Amino acid sequence: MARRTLERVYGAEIFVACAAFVLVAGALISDIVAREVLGNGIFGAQKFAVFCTAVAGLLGFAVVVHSGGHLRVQAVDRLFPPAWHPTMARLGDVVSSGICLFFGIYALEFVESSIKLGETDMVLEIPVWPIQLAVPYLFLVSAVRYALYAAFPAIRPVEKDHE
Amino acid sequence: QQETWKVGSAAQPGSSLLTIVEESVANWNKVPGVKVERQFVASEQELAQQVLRGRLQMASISFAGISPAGFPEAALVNVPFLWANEAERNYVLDGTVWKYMTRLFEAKGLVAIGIGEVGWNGVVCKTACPTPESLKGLKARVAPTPASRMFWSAMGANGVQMPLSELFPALQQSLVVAADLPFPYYVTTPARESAPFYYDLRHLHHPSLVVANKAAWDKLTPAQQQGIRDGVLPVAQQRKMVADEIAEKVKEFRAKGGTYVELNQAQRDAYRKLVESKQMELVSSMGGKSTELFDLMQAARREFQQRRGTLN
Amino acid sequence: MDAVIRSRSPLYWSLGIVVAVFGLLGLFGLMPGPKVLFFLVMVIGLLVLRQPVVLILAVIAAYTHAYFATNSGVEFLLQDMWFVVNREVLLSIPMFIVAGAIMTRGSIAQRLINVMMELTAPIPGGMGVAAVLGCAVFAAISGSSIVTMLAIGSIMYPAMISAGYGKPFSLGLIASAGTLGIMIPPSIPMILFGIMTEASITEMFKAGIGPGLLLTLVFAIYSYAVNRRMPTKPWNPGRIGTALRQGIWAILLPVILLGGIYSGYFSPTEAAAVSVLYALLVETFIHRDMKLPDYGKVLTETVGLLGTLLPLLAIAASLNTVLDYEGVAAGWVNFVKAHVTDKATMMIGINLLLLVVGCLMDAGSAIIVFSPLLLPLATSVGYDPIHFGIIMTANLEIGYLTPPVGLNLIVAMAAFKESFWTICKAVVPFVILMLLWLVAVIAFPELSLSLAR
Ligand code: NA
Ligand code: NA
Repeated sequence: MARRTLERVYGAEIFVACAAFVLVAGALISDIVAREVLGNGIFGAQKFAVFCTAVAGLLGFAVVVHSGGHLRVQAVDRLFPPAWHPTMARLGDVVSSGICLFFGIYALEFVESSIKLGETDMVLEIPVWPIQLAVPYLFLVSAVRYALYAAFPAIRPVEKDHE
Repeated sequence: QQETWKVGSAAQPGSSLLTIVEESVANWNKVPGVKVERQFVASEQELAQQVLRGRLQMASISFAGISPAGFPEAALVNVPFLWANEAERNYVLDGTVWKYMTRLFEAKGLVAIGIGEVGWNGVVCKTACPTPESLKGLKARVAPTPASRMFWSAMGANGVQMPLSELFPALQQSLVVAADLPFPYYVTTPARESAPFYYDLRHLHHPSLVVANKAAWDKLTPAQQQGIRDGVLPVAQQRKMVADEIAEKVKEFRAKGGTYVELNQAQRDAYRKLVESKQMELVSSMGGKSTELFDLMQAARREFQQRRGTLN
Repeated sequence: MDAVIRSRSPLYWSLGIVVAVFGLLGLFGLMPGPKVLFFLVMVIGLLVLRQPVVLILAVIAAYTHAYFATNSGVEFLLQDMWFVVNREVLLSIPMFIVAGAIMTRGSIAQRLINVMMELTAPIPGGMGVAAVLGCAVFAAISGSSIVTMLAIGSIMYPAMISAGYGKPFSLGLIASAGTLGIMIPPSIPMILFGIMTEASITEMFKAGIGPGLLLTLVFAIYSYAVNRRMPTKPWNPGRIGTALRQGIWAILLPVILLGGIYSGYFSPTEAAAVSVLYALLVETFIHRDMKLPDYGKVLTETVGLLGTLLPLLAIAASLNTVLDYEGVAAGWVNFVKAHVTDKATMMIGINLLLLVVGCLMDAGSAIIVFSPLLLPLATSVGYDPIHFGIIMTANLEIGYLTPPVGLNLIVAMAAFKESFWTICKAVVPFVILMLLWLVAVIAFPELSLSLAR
């Protein structure tokens, strides 16, 4: 159940991030075509592309959590007897979850202040907070992921070897 | 004794803007118990956030720079060819606009301390472009502001929007062949050589302001607050410093073979005619209470013209 | 041998983090006290508790904001991270990575490799030389070292590996030659130097040509020397012809990119999107090697790379802001000023300072913070401002290759999917060459100034 939900969320994240890349390429190319062929560039195409890149990159953080790809100093594990490893991995997930939750709350506060101040983007003249929401999202979703790994070690992704 | 305050500014070395900030800082440090240092911040959008959120206590920032931080009305002063002349501009800007904006800043936790001068934009071209017609169809760099977008589209140019750091290689490779820049900045960049024609259109004026974070400000005694207000260089003096700087740099630029063209009223009016019909559209697209402030500005202009009429 | 390195690498990792932590503390002039002690215990605890490097760095940065920086807090770390993702400079990185991935998964890369192999067959180390020259040519249109490395590396790195070049050599060469992006004009750091010091940006650009070409030559000769024993073959017109015929669409890519930028159709940043589109069209309709699911895989991979890269860049940038706001820079410069008097020791002091700065800051931030402080010192002992600007750029160019904040290292790690440590080791010989080159740039001002004036 937890695994299926996580897989679905992951699928959605991948879809949004990949779509964002397509939009980046599309926006930049359309701008070039518009100015070289139609005689007038698209104002704000580049800024739109920046926002898409930001969303893709920020979601990417959560995606990497799901695939166990974040760099880690795996060598430290060897300081402890192998029998301890599963317990330490669970403990580690609890701590990771806590760290992500901590930053997630601060990130929410950051977005909230952005809404209050009415910050807009200079080029696109749109409020920036909907895009900024990607920051608390990545931390909070990662917090939930790590918490579920701690609760159900079986769904923990196999960590990539970095050494 | 107050903790050391930081006043953020994007002013570049060698500009009169930096001299203005430094002289103000020196004045502020003479106020008993006040200690202020200048902090360079490259991006004005980031600078505005830093002072609003309290990382920096003060900022010297352009109206265009603070506008995205929740003050869309501030961008009104950048509307191309907004002012009939400098006297009218000074009257409306220093009076009506300043009073109105002060209230808006206060409501979002900023204290407006003083108004300042950055300068105005002119048009830069790779080859001679002496008339509005000659700008038509040219690939021109559009700055990331609605005002810049409106100006270049009114000229019928082929607008290419890009950040400033990409402009100089772009002029070299002819990705764009025209741009609009303040003269003192233009002459320190490679644009001076790759695009050696400068037309002093003065279509876009950049006022600036000094603001403080209100939470920090409230920790000062009334005497200290007054001291800081008094320490800002008078805006008239700032305007003269900027004008003198331009005069000096024009001489240097011409001596090195650059073309600097001063426009007369009739020539400026030829450009003005093309943008005037689009001013209202720009104003109503700006959001916030822009139309309300704009109406007040128009009223102040009429008031100024009447007053001048009675004086004459 | 590999096993030995594997078993040692944890040691280096831990050592690196401890050094980084102490370095950070030293920066703030902090003596061991309760705050510092707690800080160290916390970092070691997080390592033991299996925390990912990115989360440890985030905690370090948050702690720095909350306890070491004046008038700051954790919320400003989040704000700084947002500032980083909201900048245009980020744009070309994922696009070049996508383009590279499409070309490698499809057959553009392989076809280009065949052409390059045939053309450079008689020259030992020929493909390495080609990679260096490619970087130099791209550097002449791009002002950024990362963009240069990615644009050339995404084609040349797989090429060099499949031509039998060693992985460390290939990685080191691509990452290092990519740094030419900021020495050969145009150059974003040089623009910033001009803005911050009133030096003429045009003269800076011209002054970068000499040192840039010299470094190109140094790298090319090194590539030749290291690979002089590689087997060579004489040119074979028949096989060259076949490779060219099969590779015609692939060869057109660099032609379109360079031609498009030179004739003003698009900027180097937009060139990244153009190469994505071009690779997509050619692989789908001409080579027909790529199917829709393949593109899904390419994009998914890039999402992961960007998700690894972006938080690291953002945290590094936030720490740079702290260093800047805390006035650490001025403290260091004053230290140098107080301890040296003559021209030679002044220059040594400034260069050592800049090399350390290059480890911690990206070139742009370092120029903004340090150039106004250091230029008066340098001119007071008789250095020409333009020459000094080049010296500074050269130092910070080396900084792209020095950990922990070495942007070419971090981006190469993500783009070429190698561990940070592997890349750090790979660039060592190149960093040594660059240090020798730096001495030449300092010792012979004419190298910079004869073209500038
Ligand atoms: Na370059
Ligand atoms: Na570095």
